[in-house]
Amino acid sequence: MFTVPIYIFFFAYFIFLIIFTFFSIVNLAHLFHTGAFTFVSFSVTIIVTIVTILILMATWFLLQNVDWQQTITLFDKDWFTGGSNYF
Amino acid sequence: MNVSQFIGQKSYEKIIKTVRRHGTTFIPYITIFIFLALVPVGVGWLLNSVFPTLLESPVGYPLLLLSASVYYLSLCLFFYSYFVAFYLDMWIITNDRIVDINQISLFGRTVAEVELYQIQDVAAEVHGFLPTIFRYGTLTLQTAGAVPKFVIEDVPRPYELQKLLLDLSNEDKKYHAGIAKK
Repeated sequence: MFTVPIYIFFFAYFIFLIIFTFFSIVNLAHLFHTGAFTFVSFSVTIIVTIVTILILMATWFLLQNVDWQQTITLFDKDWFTGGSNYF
Repeated sequence: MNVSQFIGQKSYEKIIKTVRRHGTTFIPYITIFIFLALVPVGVGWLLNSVFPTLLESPVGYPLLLLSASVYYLSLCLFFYSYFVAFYLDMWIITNDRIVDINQISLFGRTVAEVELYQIQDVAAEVHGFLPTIFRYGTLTLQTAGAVPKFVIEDVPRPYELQKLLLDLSNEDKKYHAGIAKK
């Protein structure tokens, strides 16, 4: 049986956030570098930033009471041998 | 950095106009992203119907929530990347040349330019229902330069731009003819 605690997925989520931040900064840098930071691009940047903050806040709010020490079974040979009550 | 620095503006050069694609041509992207944003709602409803206990389980709930968060953040990032690629597709018209900046992707960009005096012909085309209503179309420039055909797509008011380019080209030809006589 192979089980992992669910905080592993939380760490994976943080790695995703780092990649997300990197690509967002690259996009912003493109706008600055080409002199395309106008009212339109500024507005879209603000809207995307607000939506991103709302998503992060909602995620944080809904995950507050989660017990991250819980484990999830990724593989169990009983699934194939029929020794489990799952099937 | 500003546009002047980006194109390496010459001392005698003046930026006449910066042209971008018409905003209407970005609407299909917005529609697709709105549709994609609704997908998790449908998936959530389906999961709730088929596996009613999944959203209440202490393991399934946080994992589904993290997945949904990753999905929506990715959607935001893709939308922003599409917008940047769309917005950085631009043509800078100066009194000396046209600089075509084509943002292909986040890490891909081509910059081409044509001297105004090399322009031989400018054709404007408005084709289709939306382009006619919102007045945008394609400009095709025939040039005597290294790039024989220069296409500017989805530009607002193409006929006005065509006239502007022809006028600027004629001015530049006169200037270059004057230099040649000297």
